[in-house]
Amino acid sequence: MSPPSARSAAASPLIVADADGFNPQIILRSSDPIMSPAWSPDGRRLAYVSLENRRAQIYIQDLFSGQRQLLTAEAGINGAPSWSPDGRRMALTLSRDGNPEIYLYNLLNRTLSRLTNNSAIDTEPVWSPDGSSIVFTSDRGGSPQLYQVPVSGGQAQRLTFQGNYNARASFAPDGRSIAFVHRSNGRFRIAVQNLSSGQIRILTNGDLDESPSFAPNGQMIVYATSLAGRGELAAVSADGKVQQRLVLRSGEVREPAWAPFNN
Amino acid sequence: MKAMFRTLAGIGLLALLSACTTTDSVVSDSQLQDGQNQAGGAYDTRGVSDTYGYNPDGTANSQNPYGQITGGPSASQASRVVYFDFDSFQVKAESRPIIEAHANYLISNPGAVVYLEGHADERGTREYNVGLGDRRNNTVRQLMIGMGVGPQQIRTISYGEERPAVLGQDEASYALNRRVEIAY
Repeated sequence: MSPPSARSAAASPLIVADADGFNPQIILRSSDPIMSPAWSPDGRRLAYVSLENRRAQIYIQDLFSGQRQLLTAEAGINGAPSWSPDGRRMALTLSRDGNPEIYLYNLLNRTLSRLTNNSAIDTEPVWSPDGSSIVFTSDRGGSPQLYQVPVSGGQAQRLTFQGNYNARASFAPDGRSIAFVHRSNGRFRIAVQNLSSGQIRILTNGDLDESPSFAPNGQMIVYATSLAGRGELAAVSADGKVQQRLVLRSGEVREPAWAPFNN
Repeated sequence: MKAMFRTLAGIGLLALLSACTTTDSVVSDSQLQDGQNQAGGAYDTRGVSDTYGYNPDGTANSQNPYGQITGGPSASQASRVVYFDFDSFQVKAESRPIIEAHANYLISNPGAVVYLEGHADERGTREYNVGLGDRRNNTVRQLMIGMGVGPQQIRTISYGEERPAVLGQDEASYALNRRVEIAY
């Protein structure tokens, strides 16, 4: 007999909290999965993926009014939203043309343009801080690796070569390095790569570390980790010397995203 | 209130709390921490509703959570889950008869709509795993279309690693989570 599946309605609220974990505020509750929260550059809005009602959709939600606006609801994937630094465009993943590709959505005139065209999985786009290029995950070379492509289109350059799993980049605010998920000996850890030298440094020592997000001052990286099977948040300094657990509240936590600026 | 939100937005972290409450039966946190295999059982489940999802007795016409009537061939004719190898979206030979049974049902019932729900195990990044689930969906979809099913009868959604079938962190559990569920 096939096993039953866990289809229970898992409440999975999206929350905003202070960086030390205090003052958690629930932004959205849903009985279906919510994924990939992303801040607008001005910190006033959030984009996220909702898997409500048996379809994937990307929403933008205003933090002040609570109102949300549907951005995309194409057939297949609607995923991995990432705001451009000027707030005018969104990079995202759609599979409406047959397999996962990176698209750019112009938020001013609501037009979509396709950035990648490859039979591989192309996903997890992030903007360079100067807005000129996109770094994304692709398995076009046979394993998931990070690539960089100009926003204007063209040839993608492979960035990562060490190991056979490098994915989900987060840019340092100065644009000189990226943090990402790196698999080493079967363990998924957060690594940082200097983009000019290509040198990588593994910063964490968990088994399932993921979702790295640089602090706006570039000194710390917050990430999700698994402790005894439970999802927790942790932070590590960009040089790997300081490790810190972040205790938000009871319950499992995943997919942290650091707000874009410090007040 | 506005000022507080502004402050929070300025210095805040954004995060998702996962699965801290479920409406159905759940395994407790202590069970999760103590290891996923209960005595005599191969795996824990996160809670299974008897009104939707996998339907062990194959009863047709039960309600899914969206209020629609479920359909499709009964479980005596066909399972509703297709499994995949790690980082793979190839349909194994043993799964072809399952897909064929559903294709035949859809051809006989041209008004029926099937949902292919792709899943991945928890290893790797979340959106890449959504990509894997999507490719698994597409493989099954293309096979069904090749068997004569109308493309308009097939909808797909990839949940990636967000809805595991079982909660273990071992290869046996991961194998059960790499799947496409065929639902109506």
